[in-house]
Amino acid sequence: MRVEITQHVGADSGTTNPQSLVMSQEECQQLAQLLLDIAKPSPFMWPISVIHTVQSITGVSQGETIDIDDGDRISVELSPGGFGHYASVAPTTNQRDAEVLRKIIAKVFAMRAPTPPIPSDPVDADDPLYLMYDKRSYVPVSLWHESTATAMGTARSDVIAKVIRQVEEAQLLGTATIGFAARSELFMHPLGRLAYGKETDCEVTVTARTPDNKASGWGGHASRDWSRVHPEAVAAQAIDMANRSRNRVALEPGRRTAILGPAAVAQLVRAMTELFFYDNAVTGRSPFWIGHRTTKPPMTKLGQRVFDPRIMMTSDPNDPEGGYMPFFEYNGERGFPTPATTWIDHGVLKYLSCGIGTAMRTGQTPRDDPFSMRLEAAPGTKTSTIEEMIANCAEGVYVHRFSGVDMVDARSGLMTGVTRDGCFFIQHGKITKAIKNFRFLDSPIFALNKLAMIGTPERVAFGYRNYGRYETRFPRSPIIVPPLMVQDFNFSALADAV
Amino acid sequence: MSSPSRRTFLTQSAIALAGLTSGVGHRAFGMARLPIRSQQPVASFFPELIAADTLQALATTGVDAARQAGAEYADIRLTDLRLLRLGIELGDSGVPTIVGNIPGAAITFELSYGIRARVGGAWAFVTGNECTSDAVAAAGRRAAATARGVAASVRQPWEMVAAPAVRGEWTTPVRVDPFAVSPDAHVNILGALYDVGARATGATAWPRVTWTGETRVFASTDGSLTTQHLTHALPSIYIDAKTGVPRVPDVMLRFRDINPISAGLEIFEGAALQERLKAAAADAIPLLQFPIGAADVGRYEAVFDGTSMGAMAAYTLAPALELRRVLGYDADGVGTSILAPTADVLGAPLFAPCLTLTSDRSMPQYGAVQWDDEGVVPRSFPLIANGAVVDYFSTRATAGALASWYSKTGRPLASQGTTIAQSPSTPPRARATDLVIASGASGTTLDTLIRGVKRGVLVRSLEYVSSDQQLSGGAFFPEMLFEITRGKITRRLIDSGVQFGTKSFWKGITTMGDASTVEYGVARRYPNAGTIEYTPVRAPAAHVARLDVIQRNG
Repeated sequence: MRVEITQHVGADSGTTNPQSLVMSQEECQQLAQLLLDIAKPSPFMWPISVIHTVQSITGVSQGETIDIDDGDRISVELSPGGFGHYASVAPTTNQRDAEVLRKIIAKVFAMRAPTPPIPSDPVDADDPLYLMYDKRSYVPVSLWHESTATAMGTARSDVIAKVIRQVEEAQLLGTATIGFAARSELFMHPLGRLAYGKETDCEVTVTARTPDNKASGWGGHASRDWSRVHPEAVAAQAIDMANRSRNRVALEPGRRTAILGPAAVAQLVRAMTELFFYDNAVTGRSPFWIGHRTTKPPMTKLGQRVFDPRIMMTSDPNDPEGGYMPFFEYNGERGFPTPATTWIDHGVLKYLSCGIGTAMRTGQTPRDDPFSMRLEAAPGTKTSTIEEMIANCAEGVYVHRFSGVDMVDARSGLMTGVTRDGCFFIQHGKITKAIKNFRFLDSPIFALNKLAMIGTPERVAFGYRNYGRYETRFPRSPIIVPPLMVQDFNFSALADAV
Repeated sequence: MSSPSRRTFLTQSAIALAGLTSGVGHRAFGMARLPIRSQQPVASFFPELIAADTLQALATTGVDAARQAGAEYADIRLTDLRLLRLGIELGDSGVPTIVGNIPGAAITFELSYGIRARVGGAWAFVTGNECTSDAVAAAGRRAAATARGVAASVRQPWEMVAAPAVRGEWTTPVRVDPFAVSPDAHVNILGALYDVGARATGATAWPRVTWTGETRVFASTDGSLTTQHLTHALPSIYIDAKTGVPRVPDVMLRFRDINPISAGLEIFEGAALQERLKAAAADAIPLLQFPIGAADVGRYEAVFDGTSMGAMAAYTLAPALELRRVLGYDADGVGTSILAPTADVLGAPLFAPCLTLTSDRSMPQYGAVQWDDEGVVPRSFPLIANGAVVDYFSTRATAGALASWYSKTGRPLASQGTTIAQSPSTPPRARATDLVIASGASGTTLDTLIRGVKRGVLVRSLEYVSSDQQLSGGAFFPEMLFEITRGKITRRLIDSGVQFGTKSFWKGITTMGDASTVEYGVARRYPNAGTIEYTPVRAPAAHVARLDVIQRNG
């Protein structure tokens, strides 16, 4: 049996219907149903996910287009599912031809063998765990924007020309990345669960450097809606940072008041994601762990204040600045509804992320890891602009962003990285000079307990390159954060890097 | 020694295993819970491979379509990829019990292609996974059209370096094809290695491996058409000796005899390997006995073992020598390079005279190929000779930036064959890979280097270095850092780290260890979404004159 699937065209193909960029729910369901039909003779359950991604990424450097990476990729994955038989072989493929899929499934079946069930597997249809796979409803979300889908095929040339011209007129060397992505995702379980969503996303980043390579500035903006992205403003910010970074001087390292721009805060928050995993918290790989390994039950800091009481950290599929698919995958188990979650409520740790097995054991609700997160001021908290923070700073350092942030010690959340693309000395309420970059060695857990002032959040761009271990998508899941002013931030050493 | 048949190999291994396992072995802990049980070869679980001539026809269709659409050059890579990942890990309980150890496995089948076209000096890259003539041709046309659309932005394109058209077929020489044995055999072998480690009281060996089997076809409008049947192994065995002391990290060493390589299952063969693993596991135990302390902040002499020197090279020199980064193309991403501009760097004595670094993609290095992803035959070439940078990693498209240097040194301008597309769906780039640091004089063992230190530190099994955006410096916080006093290891240092400047570090090497100290370091980088790049480096131990030791708590 062959299933006819509409050929989807990628960027710059002249497509006239942005809606057909990615597989529709009907098309995804058709493919998933084909797989289920093939697998039907099997006593095993086969949750299936279908992910279709179309991207268009353009890199520009020093006046020339140096990279164009347009992709049309599909991933079909049969998740492990046992119910009496533990199967941890998870086949993944990017093929959708019926005959190829038939061969794949037949052969993966041959690899299986009955094994004793593991304790967390459901044993029969009456098992509560079994019921977790039945039909569920999902929060309706609106992640698809026609403006982005249309721009994917049309905006590239125009945006490139404008950004290049802008940076060159400023007598600077410019490098920029303009990226678009459209994605559809379906999860289907034979017990009835069906989840489908589609999304668009886009990002523009610009780095401007002085011709002597002694100063650098950066700007970036990400949004699901291309109409809200302003490449000229992004370039203007990069140019401004570069020009203000000329004639840098060295400042003594040490603990100082730091005003962290949203891009810098976002990099710290992104690196904190794994600290919110329940499994990390109960095994000492997170600052949210307390007690010894032998404590039963494992002790965490759930319910305790871990940050300044002015801090709220939430994840919401309907976040107006970002949002995400209302279902998630955890350790190969897909399709669980993703509730909106308040991770930190007035500084108190309310939830940790966990999958279905852990949730059943501990009485929690399964929650996706906080790859998409908003950090903002608690209701009623006065917020301040960066200019107001600077004006209120007797002496400190403004940090525009960091280079790659690395976790040094998960137990304390200690991280390290280097400032880049804009680092300035503040004295008596004013920026007085551009300074050389610093290496920092500090923990956002500590920093968020030494909060002086907090701003208004915005979504931050991360760029196309330099990803971490957990990052598998571009643009990265939305991180929406404010600028922060924190005390005693540890700038541990000078860094020669520009 | 003649190559054994698969049956003989397994029988011999089984005999060897039986000789080393007794009492509680892998059969007791895990066979009942292992998810993969079959006597069929692993290859039988994948769909029949697309015939090579079909892939070749598709490749030719793609580049022909791009040329007809106006491309002045186009190339394509199509791949039929099979991946098998196996490992032995702790179970979810986190308790290191035999019953709790559950091998994990994943299996991937992928067919994909990436086509690159150049029009008016501008490049475009299009990927897909529907391997039909229509789809590949459409991708070729689209790549040409997209490149044409941005060609106006190109001012002075580099001329592509000439390379002869190549045609042919090549297969990684392996003795035991990992895809030709059964899953049971794979699990037996890993289980036996685990058992060997377990026999060293107080230590555990965690074996894991990713096998890649790939048929990769390359074609270009220059007339090249190559087919390569590639087999690569990314194995590791980590020896974990538990301290049992809260907040004191375990001793974790990577078994140095198992490394990334283009080879087959023979890498795990033989009783001698298991004896060495057992000895290595036993060697880890004495490291637990050193008193624990924190380093005083300050400047010290340092000895790095081969693994650590490899990691230092992989995270600093290797990316700094990628020409794309040097030219500023990645300034908006990972950053720039301290080894820029090329005119100021090439030939200048920046580093210690004992530092010589080469790249060697010949067999049996990991990623060995007959032709790179631009159809160029890789050659071993020096990047740093006696402390001076003498070359960079470039592609046919970027090598033009080195034209004056090549002319000055009397060499024809050429690509060295280091262009790699991590997968067909990622654009090919020149990547640092398979680096070799030349070892020093015979007799300079690790013990010799340690004995020569009055007050310093020993860095062992370094896995990761945090570098800045220009690779001008970095820091690391090793779990295996030891204090040396008057030529002897006196303490294990915790909560300590090291900060360094890249140039001062590599300039400050006084002595390279001899061939007996050579080990592998491997860097894992995540340059793009969903992509992992591995940079293996073979390096000897070394003595460094000066290193800044800091405390984590700042």
